[in-house]
Amino acid sequence: MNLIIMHFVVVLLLASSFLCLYRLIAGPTGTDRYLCILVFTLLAAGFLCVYSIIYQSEFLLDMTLDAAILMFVGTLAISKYLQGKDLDE
Amino acid sequence: MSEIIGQIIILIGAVFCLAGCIGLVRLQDFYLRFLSVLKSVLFGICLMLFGMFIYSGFTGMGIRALLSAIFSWLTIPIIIQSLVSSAHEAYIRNKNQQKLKAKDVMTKEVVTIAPDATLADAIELLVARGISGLPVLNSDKKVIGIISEKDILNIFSSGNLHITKVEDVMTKRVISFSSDTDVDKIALCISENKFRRVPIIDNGKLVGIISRRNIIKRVLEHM
Repeated sequence: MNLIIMHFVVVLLLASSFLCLYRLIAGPTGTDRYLCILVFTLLAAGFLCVYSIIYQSEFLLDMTLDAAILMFVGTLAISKYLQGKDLDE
Repeated sequence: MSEIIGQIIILIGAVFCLAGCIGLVRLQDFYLRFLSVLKSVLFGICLMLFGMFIYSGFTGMGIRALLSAIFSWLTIPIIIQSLVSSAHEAYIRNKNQQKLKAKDVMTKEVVTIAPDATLADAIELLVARGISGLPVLNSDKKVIGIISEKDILNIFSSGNLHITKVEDVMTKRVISFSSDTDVDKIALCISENKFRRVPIIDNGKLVGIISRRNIIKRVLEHM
């Protein structure tokens, strides 16, 4: 029973990923593309959450927190880059 | 029971993610796309992690999921805000760097004078409007010259201001530009020829005038 719902969730997340991939390729500006990378990281958190239920694995869930922290630092760096300023400004 | 509820919450979260990604594809500009990500995808992911917490209860897994959800909820709005504000800044900067055209800078209400007016009239007009030069228009509304303070000073000692006509004193060699000319070209011409102002003429019709002050003011606005 529980696996049916979880597999359906995986399908939904995959569909979201492909939509996001379209925007990553087509996106007119660099900021659009970075936004897609951000969404991919969020979707990865979703995938990890679902697979940790399917495989009953705790380790996968830890990675969502790691991904979120890395994304936080990375995006701040990228936004400074887009502004054309140094990081310590 | 709590497993079923948790899974249904995860399913709802996935639906929100899908909606957000459809928005990412279909919305037409960056600001709207970031909104769809911030509202819908973030809410979906946090809902999934919360569903994970419901699913496993107060176990190690559940608490970690809850902490991840809270962390994402707190940090992702901040980073999207910083991303969008810097993208917005870059967009505004790009827009300002586009070349200025004469029609963006020129003064559209031009004070003019007829060629048969006397110099006394011209001086009165110059002082009243606080300007330093006037285009001279003939009866067909064509620019035939420019009279400036310098022309008046040249005649000041030798002539009678109430008798001398404007057309005898004015500068007849007029350099003009069309309204599509780049402002930097006009600025170069003004500085090379030591003009104070150039008329902007489209199809023989006077549409505006650019003085040194116009260009300087524009620079100040974009500093």
